[in-house]
Amino acid sequence: MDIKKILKRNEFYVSIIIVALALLIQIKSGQFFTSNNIMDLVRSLIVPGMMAAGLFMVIASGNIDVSFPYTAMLCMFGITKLFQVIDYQGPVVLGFLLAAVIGAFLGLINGVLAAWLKLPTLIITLGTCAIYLGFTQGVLKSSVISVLPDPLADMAAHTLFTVRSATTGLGSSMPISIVMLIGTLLVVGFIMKYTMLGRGIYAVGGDPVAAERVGFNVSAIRIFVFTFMGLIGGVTGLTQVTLSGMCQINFFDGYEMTIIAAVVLGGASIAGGSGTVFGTFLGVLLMKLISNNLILLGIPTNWSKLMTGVLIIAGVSASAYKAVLSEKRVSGNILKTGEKEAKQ
Amino acid sequence: MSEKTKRIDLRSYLKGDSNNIKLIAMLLLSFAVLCIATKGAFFSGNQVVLIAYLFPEMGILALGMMLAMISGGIDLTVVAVADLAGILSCMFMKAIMPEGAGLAVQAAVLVITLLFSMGVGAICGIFSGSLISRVGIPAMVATLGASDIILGLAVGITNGSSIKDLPPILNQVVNYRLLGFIPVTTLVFAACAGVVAFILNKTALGFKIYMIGSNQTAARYSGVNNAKILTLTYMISGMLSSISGLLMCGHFNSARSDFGKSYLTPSILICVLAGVNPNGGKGKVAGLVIAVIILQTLSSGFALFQNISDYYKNLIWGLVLIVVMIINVTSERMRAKKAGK
Repeated sequence: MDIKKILKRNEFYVSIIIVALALLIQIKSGQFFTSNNIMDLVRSLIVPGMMAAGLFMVIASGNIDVSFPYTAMLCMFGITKLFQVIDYQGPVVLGFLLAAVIGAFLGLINGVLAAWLKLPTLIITLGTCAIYLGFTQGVLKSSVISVLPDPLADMAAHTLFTVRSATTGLGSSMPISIVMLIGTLLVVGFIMKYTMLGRGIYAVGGDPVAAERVGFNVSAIRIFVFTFMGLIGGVTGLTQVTLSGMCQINFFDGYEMTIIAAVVLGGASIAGGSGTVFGTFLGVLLMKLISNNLILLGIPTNWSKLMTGVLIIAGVSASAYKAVLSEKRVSGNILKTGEKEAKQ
Repeated sequence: MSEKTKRIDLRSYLKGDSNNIKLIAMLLLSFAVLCIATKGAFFSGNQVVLIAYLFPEMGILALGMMLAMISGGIDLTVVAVADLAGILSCMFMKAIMPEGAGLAVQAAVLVITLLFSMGVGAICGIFSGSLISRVGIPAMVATLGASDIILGLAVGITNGSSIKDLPPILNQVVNYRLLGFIPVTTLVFAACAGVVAFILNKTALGFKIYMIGSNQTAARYSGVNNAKILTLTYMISGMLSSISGLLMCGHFNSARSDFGKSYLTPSILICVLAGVNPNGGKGKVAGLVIAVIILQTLSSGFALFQNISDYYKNLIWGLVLIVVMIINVTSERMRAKKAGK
């Protein structure tokens, strides 16, 4: 790939910002490039990274989903409670499979409603997210589970490797679920780049009418992206349990915003039809880099919400404004030729 | 006017606005069901006054949301604007209220505070409106981001704690009942609804908002200044939200950055219930007023049942929203089919 092409890519600029920010934090605090900090950063990427990969597909298809944190929450409490009630002792994989099935079903509901009603998916998923939240809090009566069932506790205790800081003696470990993050990113990357389905997702996001004319099944693609998002939502819910060693109702508070921001920062147009999974990952990295190191940067945590908002707006402004300018050029040309014709 | 023309008017009205009839039927039905379920306890003057006192907070937010939806967008900042405007105007009122002021001075301070609050709302609205119309960010993302910025400011300013010890005048006015039973909040809502109805039905601005919502490109080529109209739309929405924020502060006699949190889904639900098309171009104030009252009736009704916890409210709102959307879409498609034949 030649340099000019690289310079045009959004990923390039996000990478530069990430490196610059890392250096800034290092200079300001001297604590960025420590094995502990890096390890904690990677650890905190797992759940948002997987969610962002799924949401990237939804956004690339020109839709939006704000219900996935609640899907995750429902699966997290549902399965942990189920394991507790039946005193389950078998392999933990079954739990993840079940989470995937429940999540996929909840996503399917979103997808079918979106394909059928053809209303803004934000409003549809706002409705379903209220249902999922109400179900978790009302029917499952969930707020906190502090003692996990054995299979989940085992998985939480297992780690790939641990690093120990020589100076402080604090250890940070690499959880097994990092494998799932890598797997999800690879699967999404493969689907989007090398399959007809992926082409279809971009096509529907670019222009649903044109995609239909070309022969893509627009409804089926809509249903697929939402189901896939639900599936990932379900799996991440259980992953979060094994990462934090407990269930809490506020784990995913505000996740919908952060993840949308991450995907958009990663270069996916919110109108659909563009973006890459690598860019999305960089977007998540940038978001987490900022939110994890606000204190190292000297910003009080009370202002972190403001930072998310500024990041979203800053991330979308450049590409949106470019589109406005190009449209102005086009309509300007039309008006000009119209004037010329009128003169003649 | 003769008897005959009146009847024709009524019939054409029924035909043109069947949605409102449906809504009124729904309101009566939900009222009746609640009365039966509570063995008549729900049917009391107190309950009606309470509903009239509570619905304006949600209703005024929904009015702003409706304007944005008619223009083809959505305003997710309504809650954030209400919170920020509430906080800033409470701080402002505390700062300018002189010690031991007479009633006239207090009233004057309250009016100035209201204007200040609307100013805050207008600035927030112009901010998100400009992001949409001039920078070209889709309304959903722009207001999502703007709402984080606005709410982030509110959290940052207050550190998440509440502002207390407000001058008592705000609470007194908000809780005042005219003639002993008409809450002031209802009058405020009526004024806001009247202004919005006037804008939508009688002014060029309102007509242009409908035009942009139906077809933005067509509107632009017919000479509508889309950017200006959209910015104004969101500005009005922001001003309405700020009024609602002030009502909330009066109701709770304090200001916090999370008062309005639970109002976002209901305010969208009210709009959809009222027949506002989320794709833009359609929606009337009359429908919205009835929809707001329906929702508050249901909400107050649930509060009477001890065994329905607050958590189920979310579940029910979500279900109602989805079901209403399904009904609206299918009935519209059936009508379109009939018209096609």
